[in-house]
Amino acid sequence: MNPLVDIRNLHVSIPLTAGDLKVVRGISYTVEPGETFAIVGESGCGKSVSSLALMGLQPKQARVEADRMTFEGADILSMPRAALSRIRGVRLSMIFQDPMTALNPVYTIGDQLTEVYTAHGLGGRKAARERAIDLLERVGLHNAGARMTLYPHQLSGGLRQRVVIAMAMMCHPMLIIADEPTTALDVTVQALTLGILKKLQSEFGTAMILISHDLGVVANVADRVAVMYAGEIVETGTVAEVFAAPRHPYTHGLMSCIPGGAHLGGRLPTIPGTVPSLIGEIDGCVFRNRCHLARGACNHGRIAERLDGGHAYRCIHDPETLARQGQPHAEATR
Amino acid sequence: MLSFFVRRLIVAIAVGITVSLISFALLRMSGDLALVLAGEGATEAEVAETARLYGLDRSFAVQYLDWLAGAVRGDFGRSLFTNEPVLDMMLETVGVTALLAVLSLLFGLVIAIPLGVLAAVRAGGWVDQLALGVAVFGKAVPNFWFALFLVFFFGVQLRWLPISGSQGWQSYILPVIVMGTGVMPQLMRLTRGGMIDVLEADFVRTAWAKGLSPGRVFFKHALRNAILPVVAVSAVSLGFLLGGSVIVESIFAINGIGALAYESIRRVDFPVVQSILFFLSLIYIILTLIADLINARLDPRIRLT
Amino acid sequence: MASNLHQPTDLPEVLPLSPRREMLLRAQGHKGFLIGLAIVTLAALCAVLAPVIAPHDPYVQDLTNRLLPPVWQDGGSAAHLLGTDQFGRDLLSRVIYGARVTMLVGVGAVVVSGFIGSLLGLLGGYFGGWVDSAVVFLTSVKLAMPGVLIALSLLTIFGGSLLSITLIVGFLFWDRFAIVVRTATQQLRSSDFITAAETAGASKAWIIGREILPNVLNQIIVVASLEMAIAILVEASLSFLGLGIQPPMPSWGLLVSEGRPYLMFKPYLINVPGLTIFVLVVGINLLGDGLRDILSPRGRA
Repeated sequence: MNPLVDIRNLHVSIPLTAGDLKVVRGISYTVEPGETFAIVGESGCGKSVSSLALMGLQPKQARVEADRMTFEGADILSMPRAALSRIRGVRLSMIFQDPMTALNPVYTIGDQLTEVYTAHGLGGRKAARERAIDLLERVGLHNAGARMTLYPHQLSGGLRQRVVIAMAMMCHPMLIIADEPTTALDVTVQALTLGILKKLQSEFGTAMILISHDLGVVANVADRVAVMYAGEIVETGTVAEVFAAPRHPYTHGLMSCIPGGAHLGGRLPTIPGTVPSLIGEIDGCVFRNRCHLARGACNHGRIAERLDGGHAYRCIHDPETLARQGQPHAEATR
Repeated sequence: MLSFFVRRLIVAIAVGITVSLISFALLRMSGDLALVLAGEGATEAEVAETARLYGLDRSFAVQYLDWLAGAVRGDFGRSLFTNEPVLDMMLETVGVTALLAVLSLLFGLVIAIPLGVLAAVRAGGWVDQLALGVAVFGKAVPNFWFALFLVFFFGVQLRWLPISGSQGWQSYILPVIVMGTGVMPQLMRLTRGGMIDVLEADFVRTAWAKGLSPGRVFFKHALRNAILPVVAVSAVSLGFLLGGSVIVESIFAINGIGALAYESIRRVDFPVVQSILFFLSLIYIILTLIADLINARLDPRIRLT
Repeated sequence: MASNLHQPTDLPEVLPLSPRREMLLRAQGHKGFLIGLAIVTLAALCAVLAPVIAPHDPYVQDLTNRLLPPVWQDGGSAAHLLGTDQFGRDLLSRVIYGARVTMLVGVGAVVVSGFIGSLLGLLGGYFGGWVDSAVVFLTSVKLAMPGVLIALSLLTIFGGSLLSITLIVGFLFWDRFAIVVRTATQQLRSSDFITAAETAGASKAWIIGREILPNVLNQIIVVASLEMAIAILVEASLSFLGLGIQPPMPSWGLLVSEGRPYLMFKPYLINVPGLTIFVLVVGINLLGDGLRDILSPRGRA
């Protein structure tokens, strides 16, 4: 079966006077129909930009290049604007981080829900209204018919995010890109919102790219995960593989310093050192200045991807070395 | 919400009363109005007689309260020059000026909004440059010269349009262009600035992600949010147009309230002048109140909080 | 892409420059500012050096040379580059002398309105409470009244002279100063250095004059330049209506009004002074916008 999303060697760069800011540096991944694929990493690692590029919503000045970037077999890069508009919101839709600002303050939620349905010609106003009410009920807004006339500011943040989820589902998309869908929410409603999203996703058989810096969320929701660092995917595999036996020192560092393992709300821990400058090329391993295993061979060229079944990672060290020497805990060094 | 408007209304009434006091006092600043009215070379007795005739011998406070009491009932006194009731004179002329002001505002908006939106969508592009040029022109061109130039060009050279009077819709074209050009730059800058801010907003990105057409994204989702300040300023502009029509009315020989004010000022017809000043200020105060109400209608966040 | 022309770009850190030097560099690269500066400088030079530059006495009538066309039209002569008016006075000389009226009224009115408005803004912004309410109230009253009509009324009472026009325009157009200075002062009011000065026991007058004023001065300068353009337009309008500068003194607005009867056959009589006002006001606006960009690159209004 063809993958739903197939991205090979994606680069995103932003030209600055000091040189190109290379936000995404040659990442590749695929997403199969119905699966949940998570991308984790610190902010600024390129995880959001790479998926915005899939929607054609990258910042105006950004340059996107890839050997291949397809959705349902269609090439996103060469697609005309109008054609891209036709699949956006219909075949693939997006959930943004902040529900307080993602909805237009001057229109009712009913208007904003039905709009995407009617604008794409999927049906008339009546059908759109029925669909919207049905979805609102499914995301747990009871008495949805009456609530259609509410304005966003009349709802709490958690409820607004449910409206955003319903809106993303209006046209029964094949793929949802969820960019930190619960980060801006109150901790108490994060799990609930995530559960609703997950439930709807399985009911509709929709695939999801989940962007998060919350390891707990990823562990609970995702099938496969990619760990991004400085614009590169340093490790990818099933959640079980990556969480249980990380092969990259960066992932290892992340995992080892969560006491008691991954849990919901477990944010990415801090690892000593700083991310390298993203302007221009980086020679050698992107993580080497923070890695205590680094040695001469880490300094040159791009580190090749090593495969262990479906588990891939960019590190020259053997898994045994990593397991033995580990990566010091963030807390221990602080 | 209600208390906000009650407070707003009380302030408006206070402003109105202050304005009435200033309008009334203004022409009396010269000192003895009776001296002016009696004319040069009048004897002391004649001046005293004039003062008595117009009630100017009473104390300032009595005169003011007398006038204000009348004004509240719609009695603004009579013109010293024509002896007509001032209210009738104002009502006869204000219609033309109001029509002129409304048309000018519409003209300004019809140019400012699309140009402002397009300029914001392609900030730095040629439309933006053009919009900037149009704004610089509108802000800097002296309206009396612009009016005369249009008269010369369209009325005299091309003979397309009538050059004066207020008969027929054609006679409104040039005055409306002149006055509309004056208020347009500010409206356009506001539209452009608001759009640039709003286009960065998350909900606009949501609209793009929904696959909506650029027209829908720009005009439905962005403009509606960007236009809120334009509404308030439109009301202010309308007030400004009503009070600033003197020059255009005098050049195009339009018998509006501005022309009436100008004439009355020249012949020191103080009952008319003070009433027009008060009347126009009152309209302005009411317009700004209405603008607040419209803003509340357009922005549900104001309406319900 | 040039789409972010008006937004600060994420420039990487460059060598730190002194603020003054950085401003100078920005000024040198700002085309609008330079053009505006050139126009305003030219007008100022005309005003100051009028007796030296003007080819003729602007008041001397020469009835044998009435309504001469400008040099580029048939019948024009180099003796009167821009032609003559209905009394045979040299138009170029009258325009040059008119710069004196324009610049005097423009600068004078802004000094008056800037003083009134800034004082009100400082007081309202610093003291808050009922003082601020009073300032806001006064500003609302001022905004509600039709400025041009009031100016006309006052001019009939006091007569149209340079001094009366300057004062009247100054008294009528202080609102923008008050609004901008009040907002800026409010923002400064709670900053640490003001609190420090207060705890150190500095007097209120000292704080307003020595701590706040220097910090809002940039904004006052920007408003002043833009208000000067308005003052000049208002003076020209009042003079055009016959209640401002009185003949035979050459004011640009008056020149347009004097040329009006000859609109049909001698359009240069209105177009020369009209264009002159236009160009100067464009120049002042460019200068003002430029100053805003240069003085507060991040605080774009």
